[in-house]
Amino acid sequence: MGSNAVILKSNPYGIVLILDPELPFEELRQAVAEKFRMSAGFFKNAKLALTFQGRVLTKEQERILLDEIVQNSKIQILCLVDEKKESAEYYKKAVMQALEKQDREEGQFYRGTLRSGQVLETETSVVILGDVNPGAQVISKGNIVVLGCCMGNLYAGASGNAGCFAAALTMKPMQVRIADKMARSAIVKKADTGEYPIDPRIVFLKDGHLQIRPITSENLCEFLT
Amino acid sequence: MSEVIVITSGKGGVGKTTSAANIGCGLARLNKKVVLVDTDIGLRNLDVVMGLENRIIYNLVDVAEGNCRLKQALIRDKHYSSLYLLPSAQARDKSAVTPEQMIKLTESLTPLFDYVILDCPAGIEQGFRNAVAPAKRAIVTTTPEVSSIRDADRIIGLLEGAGIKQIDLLVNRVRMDMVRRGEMMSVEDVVDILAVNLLGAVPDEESVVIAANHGEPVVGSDTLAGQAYLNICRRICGETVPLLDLSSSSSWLKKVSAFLKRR
Repeated sequence: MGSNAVILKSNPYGIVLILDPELPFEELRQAVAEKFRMSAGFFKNAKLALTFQGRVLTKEQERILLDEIVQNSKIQILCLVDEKKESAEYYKKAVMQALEKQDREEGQFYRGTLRSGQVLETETSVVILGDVNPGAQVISKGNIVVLGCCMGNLYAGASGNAGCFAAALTMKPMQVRIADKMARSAIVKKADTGEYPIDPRIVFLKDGHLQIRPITSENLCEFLT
Repeated sequence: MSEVIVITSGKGGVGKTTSAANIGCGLARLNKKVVLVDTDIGLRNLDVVMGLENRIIYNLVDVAEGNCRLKQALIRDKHYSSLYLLPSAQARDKSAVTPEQMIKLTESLTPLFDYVILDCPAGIEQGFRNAVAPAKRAIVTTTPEVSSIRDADRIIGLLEGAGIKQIDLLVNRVRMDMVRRGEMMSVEDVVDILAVNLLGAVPDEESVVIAANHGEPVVGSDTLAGQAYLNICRRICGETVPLLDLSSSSSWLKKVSAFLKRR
């Protein structure tokens, strides 16, 4: 198998695969697999657009090659770009659009428990379906909602937005930060079982101070005004 | 004259962190300026034992990488104003700092403190190398169990190889009732095997665990373990203190119950 069967060119938003037009498809498939296995460490879990070049592929063949890429690396191919439109500018647009679509469809949800040492950073507001354990951290440029017990660190409005809030079904955080204000909880006696009753609370900034309030209609009104 | 001491053991779970917290508090009790450095990056828990985990903003890795000034990362203890903690990072791993960075960091700590206590992670890999690199003196913690002694022996060899001259032994979790029945090695046996200077022995007591769970080290309390740790701190400072008789029961309640059992 010639080493030039598949040539990989990349830019920050996408990759171009230049395929050998002569090679039998089966060999080509193996060459693609090999190429991505070798470069998996380089790309890590990048989200990219992809263009096939140098060979006319059927839909079925495109699908097979995409499968091969997904299996042999952690790259997420967001979209396929036509050969003619291949330019960094266009790639950027295509990737952004695809990412936005992904966000809209999936939303910023995190499923599962965040454990000690795990850091969840998001550009937008985030909902966590699970607990945030002591030592875990959630950093969001928007709001944070924890549908579970929050015992770790919360940081809402990380880019300085003082209008952000953090809420949890059980609010026992070590530290809460909103914009540039920070509060820390009193250390609870660790001899307790760690079982806390559900007591939904919201943390927000009012007159430059962090407020932690039960989620009731009055308190929400106060926050909203 | 400032001293840099690493507390290490090789084996996990023998009481490095507990000893570090107690020795730190004990030295502060003796009016020394002390900083405890948690070098267990990724598995930090010295802050929990000290009850300071809610005050952490910056950590050791932030200091090493220059994200903050040293004084921003130092956390003052709740009880002793001369005791500070430099917590480790939880969301990183051991490869986040190098031995050179640790040496540089301790060099910036030594002018500020009498004692720099480094709490070493278990194992002999990168984390151990990071913790040992800046140390001039070592306290090897072991329990009177064969597995722990085997690891302590290996660690002593590595410490000697790293050029650390002063190596002391702390025998932790001694149960005198088991020693008396001949089911556990005595402190003397352990010292015979390891052939290093004995700094002290700490009995296995519930009070140590209870105190750690409350985030308040046991040192200086009227328990036997508290006395043992305070004596260890005195010896670190150069005093000669006779070894505590671990077989004596500390509380009058125990004495009464022992008396009743005998009848």
